Amino acid sequence: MAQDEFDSITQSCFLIMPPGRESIWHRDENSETYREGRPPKRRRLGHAYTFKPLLNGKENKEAVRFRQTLYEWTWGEQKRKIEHILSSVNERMLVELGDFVRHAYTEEPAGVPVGLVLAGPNISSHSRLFNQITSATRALNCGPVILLTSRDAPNLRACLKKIIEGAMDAVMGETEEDELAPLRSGGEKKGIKLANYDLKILAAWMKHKLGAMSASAASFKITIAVQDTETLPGNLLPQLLNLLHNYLPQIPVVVLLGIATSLQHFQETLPSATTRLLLAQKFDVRRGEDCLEVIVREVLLAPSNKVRLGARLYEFLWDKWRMHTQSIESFVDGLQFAYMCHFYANPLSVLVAAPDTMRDRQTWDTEENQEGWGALESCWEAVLQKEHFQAIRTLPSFRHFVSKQLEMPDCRAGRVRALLENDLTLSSLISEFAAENVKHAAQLEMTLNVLDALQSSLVSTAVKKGRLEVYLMALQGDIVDGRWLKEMLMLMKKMNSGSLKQFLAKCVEGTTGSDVNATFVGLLDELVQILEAEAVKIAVAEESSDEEGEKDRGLVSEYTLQEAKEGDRATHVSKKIRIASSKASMRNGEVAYTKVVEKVHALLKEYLEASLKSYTELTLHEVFYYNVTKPHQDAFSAQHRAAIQTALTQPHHYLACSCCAPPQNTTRRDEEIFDDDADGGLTTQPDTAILHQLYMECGSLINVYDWFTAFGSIAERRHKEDEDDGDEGRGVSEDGQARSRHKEDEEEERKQGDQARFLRGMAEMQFMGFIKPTKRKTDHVSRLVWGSG
Amino acid sequence: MGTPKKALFGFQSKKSTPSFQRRLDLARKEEPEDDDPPKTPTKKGRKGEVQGIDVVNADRSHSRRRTRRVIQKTLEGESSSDEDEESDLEQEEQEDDDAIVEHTNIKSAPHGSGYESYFSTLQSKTTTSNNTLSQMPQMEHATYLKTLASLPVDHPDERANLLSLHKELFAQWAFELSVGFNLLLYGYGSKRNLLTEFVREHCSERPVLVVNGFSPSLTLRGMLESIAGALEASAPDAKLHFGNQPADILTNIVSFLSSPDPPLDDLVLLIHNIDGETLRPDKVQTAISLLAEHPRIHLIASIDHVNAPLLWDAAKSEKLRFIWHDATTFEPLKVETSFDANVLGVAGSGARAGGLRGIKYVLSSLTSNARGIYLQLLLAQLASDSESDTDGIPYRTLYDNCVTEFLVSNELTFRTQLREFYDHNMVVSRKDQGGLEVLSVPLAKGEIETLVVEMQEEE
Repeated sequence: MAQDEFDSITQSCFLIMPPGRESIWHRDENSETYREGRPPKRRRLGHAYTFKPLLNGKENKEAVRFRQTLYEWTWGEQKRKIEHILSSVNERMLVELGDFVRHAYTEEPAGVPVGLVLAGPNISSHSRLFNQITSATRALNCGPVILLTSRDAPNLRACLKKIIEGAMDAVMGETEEDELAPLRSGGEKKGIKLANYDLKILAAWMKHKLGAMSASAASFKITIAVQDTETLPGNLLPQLLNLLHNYLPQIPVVVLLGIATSLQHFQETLPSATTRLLLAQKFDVRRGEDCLEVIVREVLLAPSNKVRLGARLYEFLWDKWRMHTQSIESFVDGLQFAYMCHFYANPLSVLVAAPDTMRDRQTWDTEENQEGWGALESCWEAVLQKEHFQAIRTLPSFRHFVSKQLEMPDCRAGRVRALLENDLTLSSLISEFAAENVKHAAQLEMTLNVLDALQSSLVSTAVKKGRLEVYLMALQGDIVDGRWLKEMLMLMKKMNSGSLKQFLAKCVEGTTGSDVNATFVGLLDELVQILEAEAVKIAVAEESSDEEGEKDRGLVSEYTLQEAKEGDRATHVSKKIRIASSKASMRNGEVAYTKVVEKVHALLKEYLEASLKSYTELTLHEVFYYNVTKPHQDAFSAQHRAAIQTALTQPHHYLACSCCAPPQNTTRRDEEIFDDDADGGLTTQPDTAILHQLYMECGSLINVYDWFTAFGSIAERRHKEDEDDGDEGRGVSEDGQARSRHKEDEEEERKQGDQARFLRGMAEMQFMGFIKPTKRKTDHVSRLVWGSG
Repeated sequence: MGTPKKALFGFQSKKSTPSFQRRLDLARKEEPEDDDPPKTPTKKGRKGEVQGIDVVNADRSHSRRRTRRVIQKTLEGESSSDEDEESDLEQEEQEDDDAIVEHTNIKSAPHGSGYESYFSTLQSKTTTSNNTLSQMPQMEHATYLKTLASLPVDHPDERANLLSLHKELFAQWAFELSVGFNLLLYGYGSKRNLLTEFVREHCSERPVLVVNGFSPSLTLRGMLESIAGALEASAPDAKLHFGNQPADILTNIVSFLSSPDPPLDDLVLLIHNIDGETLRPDKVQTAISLLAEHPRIHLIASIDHVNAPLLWDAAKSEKLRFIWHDATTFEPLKVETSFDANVLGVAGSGARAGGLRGIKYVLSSLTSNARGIYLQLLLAQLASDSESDTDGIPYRTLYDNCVTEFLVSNELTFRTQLREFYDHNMVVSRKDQGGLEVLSVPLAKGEIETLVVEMQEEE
């Protein structure tokens, strides 16, 4: 491939074929063999990319390839999970919608059946949703399904044409072409050619179709799904609905409308005459937050997950989702990028494959994958080299671990020394560290379940927080000392026995199935039993008592009693008296219950404090948690304009040259740079940078000639400086007259050069959108950036 | 006025600062024949308004204080005479006035921070000098290009260093590209060579569609047809038909690529300046985003315009899946700006933009009759140049010439055609002493000659 192939600017757009191919598009002969492999993408990409060796280039080839494979494995798995979640997240809605489509149309329609799909404001997810809807509806097999977008329907004609064609093409396979021919001309009235957007065609076709299939209109109908209802032009939708209503008996139809705004807003846009023709039913799409929660739970929190997000990055991604995009896809992109960065840039990411000791868990869905991962696990140690161990030893968490070992009372200095000096000793410990990380993650998941259970059992909504937020707090490690947990525990004390029992049951449910919480679960069980025993006792006691109303409320603890009467008087003494009196008046059961509550409280507190410690306390957490936000910021929220501004105001930032740098000893560079005495680097800066800085001094209009003059004077000074430098070296030996003539020529040339440079700089400024020509004054340009045009 | 303070981003002043002025003056001193010194920008209006408001405010607070003083004195039951009190108050008033002066001095400094400076710039009337470009020596486009080529390269080592830094990221870019992301390069300087090199190194195994977004002749249809044509050629037996409308072509391409086993490799779409003038319409960007969304199309793009990110709304940017990279190169945007006629159009009547090339470009898209009219104009100008020094050809003469050559049948079509020439700055019209409208072509004689030869060859 020659340089000029790519460089052609005479053509605005051209193809370049890979060398040695007659046709660029060719059938891949090896596609069969490729297809067996995993991941499937490889067939297309080959090894289009290779990772770079890290560790100052000393990383061995195997390790590099290993990282690459690990990336493909781990992300491939996560991607599959996410895709599954995304496709199944609206399953229930789709089933409901299917039911609606199947049954909405009756033989004697009272109006056009319309399904309003409230799809939410994230328009980027709509196309995925509507593809799901259409394919689900098609699967119902009750007639053709047409997907309309505002792009297809600029006006009513185009829209009708699309509907007619869509409906007839969808079942074309079953219909012979010659059967259709009379239909196209309008059925009975032969000889009259109907326009291709006339619904009569469709009516005749339906009649023919229904006759042929001997099916009823209720089971064979046309479904029209409109993806972006709000963007349909003008009053197209009312017109369409009116038309469909007019044809109702002949053309059985169901309309599905995607609504991004609200139902209310939608209703306002339709004339009430149209609204009256509709038989509408609404369908809620699951909120994005729920969907994200599922992803976080199944993908990030899942024990099989190998790389987790650290607090800062998770916060970054979540904030971006919450405050900017509201789009699951961009969250997933961020997640993928985190995996990419981790495996691409961290040589220690190979340790992710270190088998943890909790081997019994099935981490992969298929046998084959399980085996494949097993193979990876078995060779992780082989790729490690000296530099890897050195890198491990520099990790802060490892240093912390070592110093903690030294502080331990039964510390064996020899062992610690071996850790620091012997690679084998260290390598034998890695699995332990991995297990520690995995265990912590599993524990965290359970703990989040407990917190969820606690939240859902509380009556007060003031303390409720979404799972996404709780997870962030857990990662940051500020739940234990935070006010939120304290408040929740306080509220828990005030639960009555009924809800406490429920809560405990939920806790048990959420934490079983894992051995990490065995003791906690055991204690919980015990408590539940105590509670039940107490309840039975009380129930027996209450049987005889006369307070009927109290029974179904269950027991309340001391803390509730305190609260209940607080409204009366507020002095300290009166409070104390009241507590004493209410204590005295407490029934037997309540005293016992209070004790149980206190036990639960203590147990819960202890458990949460133990299990909610931050992941940053784990050894080697740097390997298992990716927590760098800079690459994400650069890749997804790049500061494009600031980059240009920086390049033009401080070119030395990029060029790193000594000539353009500001004088070292001054802090108020910006002011002095325009001071003639301390001009610093301005003269040596690139032309456009000089122009830009002059530009920044101007108002909304710039006189091109003055701009040129100012630029010229700077350029002139530059030449002088250069000349001075040159003269020192050259010395004076030439003939004076010849030299002056020579100088004149040079001057002329220089002036021309300056002008060309100025013109080029100005063209660049315009190209980048800083200025535009204006007619407000002759030979002026107007300023567009940081000013008004 | 105090020292001008620079606000954020080095934003400095709405008016010419003394230094800018001084620079101009300095430059003037070097050219003594220039007898039109620019007026010193005056500061009126804005300052006055601000002052007015402040005085009112100060007045109010002042009167409040006076009342307070009176009340205080009454309460204390001081038995001082009215006169004493008056003088007391007057003295205080004096002090207050001083305070006001100080106060307004601070306020009237034109450089508020942040938003204030924005509004002051917005409202201020800029004063600029009345200099015009006629004072600037004229420069032919060819000379401009020649001079530029002969200039020494600015910061060559540093630029090479910067480039090598970018090149180190090539492997990473290739990785990002192949896992389904698209690349977007931003930052000052031409990224064309960098991208070309990247594509040559890492995408040489795949077909590449290069799109010069800065080129004014680019169309969406052309772009899509290139892709569709290639697909058609790839499967001649499949009898592919992609349609005629861009929208149809696009849908068909996407559905063809999505078919289970399309017989082709991944396509690399390299768009230099995806923010180019012709690519800016929403329709085009939507089409590009639909292409880029497809997993078998890999998009590599660059932007230069400061507001380029505004092109993409949430839906589009999600489809585009860009990973952004700062690729500041400091390479001159030579090729990219070569199409842009406007600035140079301003920069001197002689230094005509695309000049010969621009005119050729326009001519190539005109009808043969229109080309004929232009040829008549060129020939007439050549003839008149050699005969007398009045360049240009009277309107009437040109019209008659064209009628005799059967190029136009009535004056209306002739006018319409001329209008088009005007719009492209291919014709300059002026009134001579007799009030006669005279038309001329803004080209040098040599250029006209080459153009005439070329056009006659084509006929």
